[in-house]
Amino acid sequence: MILQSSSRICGIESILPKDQVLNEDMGYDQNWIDRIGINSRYIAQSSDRIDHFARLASVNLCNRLSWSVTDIDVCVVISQTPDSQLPGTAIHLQHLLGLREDAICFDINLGCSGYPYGLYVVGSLLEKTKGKGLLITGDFSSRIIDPSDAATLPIFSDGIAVTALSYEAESSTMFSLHTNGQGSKAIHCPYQGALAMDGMAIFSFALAQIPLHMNKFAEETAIELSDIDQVFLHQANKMISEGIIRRLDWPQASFPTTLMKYGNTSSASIPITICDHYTNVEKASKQLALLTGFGVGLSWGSALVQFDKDLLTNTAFQ
Amino acid sequence: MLPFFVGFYLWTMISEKEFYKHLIQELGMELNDAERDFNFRSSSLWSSMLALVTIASIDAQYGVLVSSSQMKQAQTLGDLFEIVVQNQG
Repeated sequence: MILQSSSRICGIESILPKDQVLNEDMGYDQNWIDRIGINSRYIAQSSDRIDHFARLASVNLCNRLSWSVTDIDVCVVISQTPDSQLPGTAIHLQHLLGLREDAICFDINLGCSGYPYGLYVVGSLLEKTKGKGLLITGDFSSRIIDPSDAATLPIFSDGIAVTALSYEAESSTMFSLHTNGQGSKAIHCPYQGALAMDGMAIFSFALAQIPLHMNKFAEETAIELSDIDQVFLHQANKMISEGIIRRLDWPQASFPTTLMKYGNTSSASIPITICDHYTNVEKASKQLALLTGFGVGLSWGSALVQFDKDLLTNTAFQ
Repeated sequence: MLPFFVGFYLWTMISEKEFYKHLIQELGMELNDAERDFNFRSSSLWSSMLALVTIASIDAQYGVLVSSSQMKQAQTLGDLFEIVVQNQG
């Protein structure tokens, strides 16, 4: 099923903790570091809070866009590592940012597939309000990883991203979103427990499912592959990214990566990679990008979006 | 000239040996262990990380996806080779 919303991504602000960790300095197996393609990671301190990071990034982004916080109709947070069990992070942000009381603020519990889901949810709400919205995605995954788990720990980085969207009648973003709860044990975290990942199950799922999904999405949206300027994949690890790209066999496509610099930042990995890409590459007008996330659920989804030349992007460290 | 089936058999044998050699190298194990009956799970190097590396290496080299359940059942390099041949078909 192809879904659609009329919203435009106006800007993205990524924010990562200032503390950088190098896997090669931590005594992890070098073969494993090479395989996952991740060396540098950013880890939040125990006193760091997602709502404070989100507030800083949101304020910066609104200032850059010359938006007033009172213009924000929708604020959605996608995270699996909230600062508190309740109330949700979006509720705290309503107060911290000074959003209107009639702004729609709530959280969604999703991980690495979360970005296309969030774009769709916020975009759909903006079709009703005809206004502006913020989507906050990301995790402090270090909160839920067992420090002795030498397979999982070197993969994840803490970080979040704030995406500013506005309603635009003539803009059309297309989506395809999927869930298969049968795979719920592949990535799971019991209440107050540690993250457990079945790496083989995730790898098999990603390589069997995601290229098929992406090809079908391209077919159903009738998009010419040559028209896609960039494909932003969720940055899971190098083995998965390379496997998906190999199986897709889209030789003309460009797949920007930030694995080596930032690791796997969960639902923030796609917007963080977009920010990084447009820091290094001059923006052209009307860039067509395919954004594909996948992970916990199992769940996966894609969004076909158009970036304009005036898209604002920035990466900050807190 | 060798009959076709003999030639095919020899080609398969070479591929099988190459398969074992490739995997052993990818796993960082002793080349002497590149044998059909080698139980890779008995290696002191074996870990869940290497299990994932095995699946990824087979996919990268042979374009064959070994499922998580297949990998969990395999004990020897020969088991893996048979899974690859089966999945290829």
